[in-house]
Amino acid sequence: MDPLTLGIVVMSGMLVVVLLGLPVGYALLGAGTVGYAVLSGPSQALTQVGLALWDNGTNFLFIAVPLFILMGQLIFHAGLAEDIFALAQRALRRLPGGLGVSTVLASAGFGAVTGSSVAAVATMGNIAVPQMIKRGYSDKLAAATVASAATLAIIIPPSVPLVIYGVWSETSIGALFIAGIVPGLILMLAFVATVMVQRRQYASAASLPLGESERPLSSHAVGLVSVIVIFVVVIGGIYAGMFTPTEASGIGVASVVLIALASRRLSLVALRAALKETIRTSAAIFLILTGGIILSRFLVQTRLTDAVVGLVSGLDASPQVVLLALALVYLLLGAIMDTFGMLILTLPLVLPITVALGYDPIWTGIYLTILMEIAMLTPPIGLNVFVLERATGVPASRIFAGVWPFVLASLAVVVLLIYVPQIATWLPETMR
Amino acid sequence: MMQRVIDFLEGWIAYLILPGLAVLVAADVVLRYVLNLPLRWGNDVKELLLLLVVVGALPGVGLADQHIRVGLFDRFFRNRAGQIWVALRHVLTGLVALAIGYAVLLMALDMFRYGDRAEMIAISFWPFAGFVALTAGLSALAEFVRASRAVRGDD
Repeated sequence: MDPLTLGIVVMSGMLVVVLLGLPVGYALLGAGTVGYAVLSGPSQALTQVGLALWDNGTNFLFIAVPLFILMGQLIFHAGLAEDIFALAQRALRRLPGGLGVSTVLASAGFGAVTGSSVAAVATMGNIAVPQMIKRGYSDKLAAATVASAATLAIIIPPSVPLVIYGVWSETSIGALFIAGIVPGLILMLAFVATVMVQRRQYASAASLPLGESERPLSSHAVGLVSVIVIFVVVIGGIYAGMFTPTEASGIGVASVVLIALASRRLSLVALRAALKETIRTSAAIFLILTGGIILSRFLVQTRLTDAVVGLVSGLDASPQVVLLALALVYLLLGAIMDTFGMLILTLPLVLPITVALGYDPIWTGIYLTILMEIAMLTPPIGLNVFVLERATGVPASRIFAGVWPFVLASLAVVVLLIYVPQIATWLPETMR
Repeated sequence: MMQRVIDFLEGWIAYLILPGLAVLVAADVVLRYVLNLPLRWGNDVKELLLLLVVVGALPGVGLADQHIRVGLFDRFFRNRAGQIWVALRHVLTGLVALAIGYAVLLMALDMFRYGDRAEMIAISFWPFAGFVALTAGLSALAEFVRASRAVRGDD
């Protein structure tokens, strides 16, 4: 069997076992190992597996993954997001749909100190959805707003998917974080606009009496000030070149622990839960990333990557059309595949294509992250929707029915990003 | 028994190694910028702690079936044939984990033979590679336990 055919067979076999439910990380590792064994012999295959595990497990850059996950977990358990939401809610109380807009703004604020969409949706779901339903919003509208707004956490830095993309593609993680700021803000405004466009549904609720928080306004300032301080220290430190993203993650964890302990918001039980959840999530991500690296090295050897890039480059279509078609492919993949798995599975083929089309790898990271956001909302797998269903009890089918305006808003941002790539590349260029 | 071993392992990783890693990363930055005293061995130790964190939790993730996977056809696997397929899925996963463990065990033996160690501090690599091989073996065992549960209909 020639190497190219072997690459196609291994890739197809891997997709079949993934669809049949084998863990994505093990499927990638197994496929890469079998492929190497056929191509270069079992001994070479075992050497490659051992080396990839060791190199990836001791990769200094990857330290940022468990530490940023821990930071998000600690902020979640410390309840800092409740303060941002309470302040935004009071500031926008007279605006039709003000509670919806507050939810979007609070999610963006929470996203600025956590890199995990799941942490954001679990947190905001518990805070915002009951408030919105109490004020007369339909459960569909309330849950769809939260599920969508929580996706901002992975584009507004710090972002765990951007760290993973950076490690995989050997792109500067600091530059990726900075590149996420402007698209993240545009996406936040797009979500605010989506809420405002639907204001008739929101406005009917706005006439109901506002449920005031029992705590005084000043007590909520702790959360807002903490979030601003953590964001400025972590992201400002990276932008100013003071810290690497790995160092920033350590400083971020230390800042959150100090703030949470000083404000007595972190119990021992919550701390233990945060630590345990962090190691499990990190291990699952590590396995996928390592498997993806082994498989992609194998695919490069089979020249399958070159063949696909050549095929796409030979198409009589503009780069923008190719990228729009890729976005469509990701929408379909997002319907059947987890977002991390989708990212690592497709990167070996997609990154060379976007680079060949003349787009910066940093831009590609942002483009893929927004597509991952969309995948977190679309049926049947939309992760955020299922996490929110578990947190609030609102049926997933109702949430899926309500997220479409937000999905369309996200797609509009993707189109904007394709036609105006400077949205993502301008700010990181000012770092150099 | 399996659960107790995994709880013990996860306890050490979650409550000692991970906080240790976070403290070391933060302290290194503070020492460098405030006291101009960077830890020369810092990066070597951080990288080895990271390895313990990311592989130490793998058996627990497997036993709790928390690996990232596509559950698109799960609803079709609820009858006896489905149980058999779930068991096969766990066996297949366990075999891949065993292959990983064997690959890293060979690497650990090579590291021991050649005396591989960290650059800035005298820490040998082979015990860490051995730990990776051990956790891969435990992960395989966890998958086989789940397979037997699936066959019995307890999964």
